[in-house]
Amino acid sequence: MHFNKTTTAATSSVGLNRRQTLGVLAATAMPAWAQTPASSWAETLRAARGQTVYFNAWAGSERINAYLQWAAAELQRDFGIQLQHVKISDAADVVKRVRAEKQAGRKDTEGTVDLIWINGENFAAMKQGGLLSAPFAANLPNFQWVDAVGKPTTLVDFSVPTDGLESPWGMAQLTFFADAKRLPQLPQSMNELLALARSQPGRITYPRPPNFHGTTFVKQALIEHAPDVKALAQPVTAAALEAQAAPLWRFLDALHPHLWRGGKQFPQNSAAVRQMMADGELVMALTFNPNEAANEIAAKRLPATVQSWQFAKGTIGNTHFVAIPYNAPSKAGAQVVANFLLSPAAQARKADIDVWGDPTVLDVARLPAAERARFQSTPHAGQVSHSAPALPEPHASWVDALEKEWTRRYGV
Amino acid sequence: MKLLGPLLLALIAAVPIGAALWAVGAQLLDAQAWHALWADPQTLRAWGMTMWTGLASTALVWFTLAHVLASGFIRQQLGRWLSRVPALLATPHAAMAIGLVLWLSPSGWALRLVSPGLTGFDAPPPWFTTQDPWGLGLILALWLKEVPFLLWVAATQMQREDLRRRWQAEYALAQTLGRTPAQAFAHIVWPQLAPRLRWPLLAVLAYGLTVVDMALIIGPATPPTLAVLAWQRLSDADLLTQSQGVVAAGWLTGTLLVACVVTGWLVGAAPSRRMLGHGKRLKLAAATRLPKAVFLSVWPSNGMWTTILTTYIAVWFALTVGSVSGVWPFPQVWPELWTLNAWQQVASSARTVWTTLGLGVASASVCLLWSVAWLELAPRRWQQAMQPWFLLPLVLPSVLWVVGLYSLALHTRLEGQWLGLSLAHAVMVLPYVLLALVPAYQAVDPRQAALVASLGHGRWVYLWRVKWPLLKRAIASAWAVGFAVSVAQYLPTLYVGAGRFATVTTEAVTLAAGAQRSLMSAYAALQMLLPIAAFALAGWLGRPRRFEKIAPMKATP
Amino acid sequence: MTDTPQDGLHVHIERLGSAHHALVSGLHLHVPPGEILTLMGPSGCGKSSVLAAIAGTLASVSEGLQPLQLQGSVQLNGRELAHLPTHQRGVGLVFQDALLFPHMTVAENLLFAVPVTSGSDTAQRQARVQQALQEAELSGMGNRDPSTLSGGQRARVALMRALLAEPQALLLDEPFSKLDAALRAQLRPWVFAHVRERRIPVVLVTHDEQDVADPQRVLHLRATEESQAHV
Repeated sequence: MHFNKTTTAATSSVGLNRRQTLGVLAATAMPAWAQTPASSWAETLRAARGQTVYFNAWAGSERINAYLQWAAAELQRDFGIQLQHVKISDAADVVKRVRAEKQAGRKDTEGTVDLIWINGENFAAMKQGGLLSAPFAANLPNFQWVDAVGKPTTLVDFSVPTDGLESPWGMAQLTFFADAKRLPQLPQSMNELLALARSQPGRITYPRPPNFHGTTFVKQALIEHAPDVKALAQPVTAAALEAQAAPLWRFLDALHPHLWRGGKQFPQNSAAVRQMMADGELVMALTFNPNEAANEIAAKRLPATVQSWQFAKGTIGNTHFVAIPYNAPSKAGAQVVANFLLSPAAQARKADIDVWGDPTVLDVARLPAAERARFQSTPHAGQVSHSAPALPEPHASWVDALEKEWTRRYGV
Repeated sequence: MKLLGPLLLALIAAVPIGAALWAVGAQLLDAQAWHALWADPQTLRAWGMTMWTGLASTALVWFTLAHVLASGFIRQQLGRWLSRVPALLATPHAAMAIGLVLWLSPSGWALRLVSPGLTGFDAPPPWFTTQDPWGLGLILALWLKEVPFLLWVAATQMQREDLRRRWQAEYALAQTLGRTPAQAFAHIVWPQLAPRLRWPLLAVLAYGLTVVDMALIIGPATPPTLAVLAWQRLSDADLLTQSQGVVAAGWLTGTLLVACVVTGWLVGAAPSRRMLGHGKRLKLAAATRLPKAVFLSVWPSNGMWTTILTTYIAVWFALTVGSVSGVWPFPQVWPELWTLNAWQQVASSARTVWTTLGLGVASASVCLLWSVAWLELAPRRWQQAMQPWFLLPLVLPSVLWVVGLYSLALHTRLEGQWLGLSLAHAVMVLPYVLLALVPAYQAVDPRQAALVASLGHGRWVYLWRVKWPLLKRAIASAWAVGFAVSVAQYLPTLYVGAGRFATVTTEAVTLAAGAQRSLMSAYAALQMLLPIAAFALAGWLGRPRRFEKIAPMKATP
Repeated sequence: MTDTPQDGLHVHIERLGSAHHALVSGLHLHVPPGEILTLMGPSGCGKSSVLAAIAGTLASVSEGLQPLQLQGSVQLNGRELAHLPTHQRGVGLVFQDALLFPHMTVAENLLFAVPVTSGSDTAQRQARVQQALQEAELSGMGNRDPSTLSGGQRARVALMRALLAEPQALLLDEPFSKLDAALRAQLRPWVFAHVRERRIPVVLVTHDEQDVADPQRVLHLRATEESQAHV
């Protein structure tokens, strides 16, 4: 069985918008009864009590791990659920595991994964492979607070509709950071970046695709240079790739000779880039978490003069989610956990820079006053001072096509 | 009937290996994946890079080994040197790579020490010192990591009293015939020692060709080695990409097997009695006829060994400083900000030490029991015939093994269970334990068993009171190596354990997914802790008996 | 005590060899108690294999080469030994190397051989060890590391160890060949005196004419030829 990316989610763009609008209307206009009646949620709560939920989540940061430990304590106290953080280094591993379990014929409650932290291609792979449980996100009581209008990526993941198969958790946006001492003038677009690279050759680079940070950098350049941005929301075709990406390749051809090691070698991941920036070998680095630089400054791994910024016209942003596999043994518990993660208390704590600093998916303005107050925060060194708009991701099928072409041109 | 025991033992070990191979083999027959792999422009260059780094590092290791053994043998210091080797062995691969990067990268210590004074650099220069496109950094790291392993195996061979005495006698004899010490070693001792190191050398070659974690840190990136490419493909969620990863790993394995066969032929088989008995003149295999320069010291005699030791110490030092370093801009020699953050993290992962300990003890013990039973009960011919089969997990890439083991675990419903995970570890640990025990068992004088029986004692008394106490050192060190190998397992724990079991190594790798230098350095220390403790315990348990000292006696017949 | 005809060691070897090659065939020998039979012959004619057949150690000493099979019988004091495992035969072995266990002291090596019967206790067994040390002129060296002993001392300990096990027959496989001439001249009579004292049948294998214990009990094995005992 091969995964044909060009025929994913074969709904027309018109239908998509209509469904999206309906969902938004439901969420904003009728918060009280848009979800299933309270009694079935009470049943879920009852079934969840005493369950153990194995949450497979990327563990590359001690802040995330500490946050999950806090969440576990809260869940135990309030709902009687034992949350186990299964530390993974790559969500694709979990996708493979669930797929292998399905191939081995495991039934509905015979899995090893209850909840998975996921987005983008991994989600698309699970959805296509029928590896997810029945839609549940819209039934969560806290889903009503999600900002589906201002943050459309909470319902559409890399242009693939979530269909309630995954529940939003946090926001991510491509952000750059650099030491202001070495970089007084922050580039506000790809073209300004090119000019910077020319003036300081060998001090800028990005991770090698198919690393997702590197791919996102390339996608950002694509969006800024593509003649027709709307075509990017459609599944990729050879013609579309040719037309839209031609300016991108011209741009990269001009950029690469001024990059680190002349664009002949690229680092493996964004962490390597960050380390090189900290050491002074590079002048800027990139990340998905707008608050990462602030976190690093607080942990004394970066000097306090480091600043984060996003391009003035906007950078690519997306949402990350939690999903439940088809064979999760503790589905009720997983749903309760997902709901808890959406709660204003949990979201506020997550957004707190001193704890994690991951932006919230909720519409803070619509929250009751008491909950809204939780989201107050003091500015920290290294935070993004002016948030830029979050540009939507291209369709998931573009990722593969871009990576292949990039590898063909620059990878050997 | 007598053969029932060995037969059962053979099946217990051979069946999981065979089943795992079968599971992998099925996935290799995917024509579309092969086609896609071939069409990818990176593949050929990645393969070339793999061959270059693997073969060059293995050849370098072989020459170094000959040189170090020669120096140590001639200077009579081999025993002392070899006793230091276990500590070097315990260094995790990734830690070695990180330590080297800390020294050699453009913003590394080597340059910091001389900048801006000697070099005038204010910012790190754009030099290709790590992740260089020629793979030199990777070759260096592999060389440093593999020489102690081969030395350790050579040590197990040298522990054989009979061989050592014979070689020393022959070496002395050769010198009386007018050879220099270096020539005597090269012509007499080395041709006999080298073929006994054939299997470990193949393991080194296999590792060099299939290494992933070191290649990621210090190896070339454009394109990466084929092993890294296969691993990256295998890690993808997309099915087609995954199957490309499997066939890439399969192709790598095929290349590996060919390389092993050729290398094995180059090194030659150990001279056996049968060969000598038939009076054929012993043709020295090519790899034992090494160039004179290897043995003639260009350096002072112990220069090479000292270099290796010093480099290890430098790497450990760099890791220690790295683990408490915060902001550390170039060209400062010491970090500007210090932080204990990384160690606090490590302390909070202390629970994983228990899991690691349990798994290590279980798998090492099971393998030890099996190996001892096998070596005791199975006829010599069976042992020789089955040896390549049992040593397979040593030689094949772990990336492929995990695929097979995981399929096996799924089908037997053992995934996510303690039992399944211990068994998976045991399969990976078995070759090392066997490798450590076989030379000692071969050294046992068969007349000893006859003698004990003639004194009226049955087999059990012989084993408990005579044979095993005499083999105590080999048995303890085999157990320690098995333990260390179990601690270092990452992919099997992750897959077969279904993410339920957190060991020290899985913590280290997942936390290193964020690639904090301080975290990785601190976790490397944690990773080393358990194997070093195991080796120390083994050394203590295996210590020879101290007899009471007596004044020299008058000469009486 | 009178010796009956069944006493002593009776060995009938129809054929001793591997599947393809017969090493020894048609060998019959009889050693009465207290007598020493000397088995002689060139290297490779199967002397040690005959001893192995008597001791029952054919499997372990033909390591790596073709296993040898015995067709025939071995009787010791009326008992048929051919189907018994070595440790039940009561046949002692001394090799050319003393093969003292390196992880035990001299006294422990000797103690290892003393049979544990229901009657004896530790003190009695220790006393026997001390007595053996005295007979070997090694008293006071019980706590020594065997590797610190000289060749002759080791040979004596090896013999005492074999005798302490109270064997009903003793096989000596070239026991003096690693010693120099002077030592041999001293050790030979001592060994023969001790074994004769025990009144057990002894078979001695050697290639040195001077080692012959009893000129009237000598058997020459010739390669691939049948031979009949003269005794």
